[in-house]
Amino acid sequence: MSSISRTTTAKPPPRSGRISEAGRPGAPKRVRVAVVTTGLVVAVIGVVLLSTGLGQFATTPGQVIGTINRVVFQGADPLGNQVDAVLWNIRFPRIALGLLAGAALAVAGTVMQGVFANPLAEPSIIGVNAGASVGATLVLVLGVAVTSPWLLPAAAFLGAIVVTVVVWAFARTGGKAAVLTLVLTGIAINAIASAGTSFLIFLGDTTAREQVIFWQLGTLSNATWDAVGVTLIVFVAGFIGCMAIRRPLDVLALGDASAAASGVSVERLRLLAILLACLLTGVAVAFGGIIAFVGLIVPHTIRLMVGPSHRYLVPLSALGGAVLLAAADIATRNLIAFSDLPIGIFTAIVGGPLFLVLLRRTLRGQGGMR
Amino acid sequence: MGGLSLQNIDVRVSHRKILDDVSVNFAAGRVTVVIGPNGAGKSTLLGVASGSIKPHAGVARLGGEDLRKLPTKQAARRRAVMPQDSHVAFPFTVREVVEMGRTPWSGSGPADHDIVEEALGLTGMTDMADREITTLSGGERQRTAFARVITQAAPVTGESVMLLDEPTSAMDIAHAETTLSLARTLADRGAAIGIVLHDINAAAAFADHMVLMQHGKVRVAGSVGEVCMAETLSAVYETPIDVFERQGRVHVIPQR
Amino acid sequence: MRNRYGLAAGITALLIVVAGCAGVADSSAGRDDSTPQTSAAAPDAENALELTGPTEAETIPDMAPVVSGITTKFPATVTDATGKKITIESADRVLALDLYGSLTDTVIGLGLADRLVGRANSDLNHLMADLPVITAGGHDLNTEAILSLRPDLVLTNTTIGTDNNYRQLESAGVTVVRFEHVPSFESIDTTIDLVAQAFGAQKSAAELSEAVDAEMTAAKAEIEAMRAMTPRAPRAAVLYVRGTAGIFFILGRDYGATDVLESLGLADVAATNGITDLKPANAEALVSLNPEIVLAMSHGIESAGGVDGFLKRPGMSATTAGQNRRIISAADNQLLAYGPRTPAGLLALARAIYTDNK
Repeated sequence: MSSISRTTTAKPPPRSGRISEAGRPGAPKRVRVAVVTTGLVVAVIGVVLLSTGLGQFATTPGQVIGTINRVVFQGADPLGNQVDAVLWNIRFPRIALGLLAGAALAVAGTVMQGVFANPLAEPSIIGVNAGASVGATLVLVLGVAVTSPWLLPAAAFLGAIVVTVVVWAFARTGGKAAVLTLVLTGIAINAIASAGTSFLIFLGDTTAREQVIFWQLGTLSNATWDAVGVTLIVFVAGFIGCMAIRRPLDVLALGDASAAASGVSVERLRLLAILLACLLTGVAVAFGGIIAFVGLIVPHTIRLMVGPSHRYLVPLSALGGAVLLAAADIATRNLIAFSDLPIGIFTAIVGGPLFLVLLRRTLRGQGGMR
Repeated sequence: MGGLSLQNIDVRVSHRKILDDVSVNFAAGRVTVVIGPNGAGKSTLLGVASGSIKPHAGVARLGGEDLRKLPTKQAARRRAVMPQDSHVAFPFTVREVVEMGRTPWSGSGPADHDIVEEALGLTGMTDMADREITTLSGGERQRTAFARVITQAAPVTGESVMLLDEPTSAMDIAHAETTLSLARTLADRGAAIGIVLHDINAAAAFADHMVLMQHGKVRVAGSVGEVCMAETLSAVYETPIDVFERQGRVHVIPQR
Repeated sequence: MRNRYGLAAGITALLIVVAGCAGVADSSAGRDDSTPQTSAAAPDAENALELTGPTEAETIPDMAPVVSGITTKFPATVTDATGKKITIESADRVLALDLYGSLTDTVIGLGLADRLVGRANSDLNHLMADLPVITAGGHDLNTEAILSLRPDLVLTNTTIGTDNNYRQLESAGVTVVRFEHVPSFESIDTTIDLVAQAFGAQKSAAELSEAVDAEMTAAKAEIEAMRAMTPRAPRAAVLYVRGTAGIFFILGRDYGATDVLESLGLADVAATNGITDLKPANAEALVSLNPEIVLAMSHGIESAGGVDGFLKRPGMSATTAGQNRRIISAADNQLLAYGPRTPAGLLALARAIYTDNK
């Protein structure tokens, strides 16, 4: 038991001097978290069910179940049956990649917002997207993407890491990398990387340029089980890492000085968080191209619903990101006959209005802007 | 041993000395209040004591140990800091913010919960514990911060150090009194309390030891009576100030 | 004496007419129209250097089957563009994916049109009118949608779709044969041969190749006749343009410009200036090359604001071609296509260049 004295407050807690706005009304936190979790889990299941059944290669739910039965439980070769081949080799890995990439992007966004103590932060600040762009564009312009399906993702991933490291290195002054310095350095390095990409685009031929454009709009059409495997490993590692730092990430909201005074190694935490965000975003971008918006919108939306504690924010953002991307991908591959639309369009169309609705509802519940 | 001592501290910002050969001792069981005009270096002093500012010369010791050699987490168990700015970036609840005080103590067991509840009670924040901190007034946020500091320092012993930078600046007179009384009580329990205050009267009422700073130097340090002298204060604040005693208490009033 | 000369002249004239008719018979083997060409061309020929104003080459007729009664044999093997040996088990439902339509034309020429199950939006052959368009989405093909057509063989030169699309098709059990896209005359016969191999019908390849070769010979002869009035080879360049925002290039040999220009009796300014792939057609480049005739794709010119918009590009008006507004345009899949319809395409271009038929 603590030995804090009990003799001081004899009078009841005084009312605050000004009329405070009504706090969040109604249900206590735990109930809200439970409701949101259930909702998201149901949404994930729903999206998966819908997604497996929808595609421009017409299938029935019976066929979907049949394929799973044959390939998973009977060890059959998917190529033995065309429906199996299409479902197992083309549709299922794409759905899986959508879920994992969406989760990875959302968790990366969550951690970035925590480490910058700012709800507007997202991984592109530290140069992940710009770096991946340079790597991918280089491979496309050199025309070597054909030589191996791993070359483009590897180049994109490497580019992401290199540029992030450069941003971090330049932002460090006297052993510390303050938030503002990181942001400004990120802006500068992003501009340089962007110029690099533009130059490479200029050097390329028309085919390369088209490919670069579509890569930058994002697509899950390159999904293979190999890609899913790599993404899964990186995601799980990243997710565990982010959960491990969930409490110190919360404390960063108090400001660097207070966080340090509370025993948090702010510099190390910041570096670790940025690294995790870079890895998670990097793997998603490597296989899916630049998919904007998920890292910004999903954590923000989840925070509006369950509050800022990373203990809930990280896993629920993962679920939210998975739902958003997998749902968006249903549209990209089914909306227009014989077309595979860029997914960046849909994450924005779905995510944007949803976020606006939630924001307005929250503001109304609080009687106006804080 | 406890306490936090600063010896011969120099802090420079591009050739200008913000702190010049400053020595202050925040002794255990004592409320030490630092006062001085704007720009005297009070917050910088507290910054050095809290570890966020590295001095260019001199040594800071926590419980006799050099701060530079003390790992962050260990230092945090003995020294809790309430900053001047109690802004919180995200809408954590009051309780969640106070719980952050337990960060340097690994694990969140039932003992933590009790400590948090007690701190909330002491600062009068129990009723507001589930409110989002971003909806609170400035004074309420400061009380929350103080609760967090208490939570971090618990169990309060002779080893504990609490540094408070203008902890009552947004509070009304009643809350300010309650808060400083609470600090006094904590000191009675053995903790070393260091407070930076603007309000000289409040300082005089609650301090065991006062430090008057001017232009980065310690001008006078000692008991309330020693520091609160009309000539000294008038000179340091560069405005005529009257000091008189009434019913055993020192009152400081600018001449009008 | 006069009678012998008269007889000799008469026989010579007869021989010329017979040769001309034979040429007509050969050159119409792969086309649907029945208008005799030879007699119309040479009389219309003018000095290309003196002709002004833009002309569009007429649209050449659809590809028609040349080979009849082709026998296919499976499994067939063919070595693809990467050097890999591909085994084709069956080819009942076929897709031919080529931006310029040459693979499609080859398949049709071999008499295998009824096996095609889909088309690109540039495939306008009436034989394919009822087939679904699979390239609606622009860059990326929707693999599942293509698979919904249940193809068993896909022939491609990867000018449509991405490598990933083809890898995915293969992972769904479809046989994909990749051809190299080589924009030159030699490649026409090579492609015909390889495509026929994919159907196990090598013998029929020769039939189509010979027909195309004969047509080409006749076309070249006709073009020679049309060139008669032009004292020297006009300087010409093939320009690639899309829109008004920076896509404007001079094409060299690697993009198929040289063979076309040379066979038309034009001097390729790109080649003489060492341009082998492509070069931005900025003002300086255009002025230093100074073509007298410009060839471009019709759709490209349209997207650049028509001939007037095209001529407003910086530097264009400083060239002889610009001053004379001598822009020869042709349909996208006609200008640089190297396939069975190339002879007809060349003739259409030649007529546009050397005659005044507007």
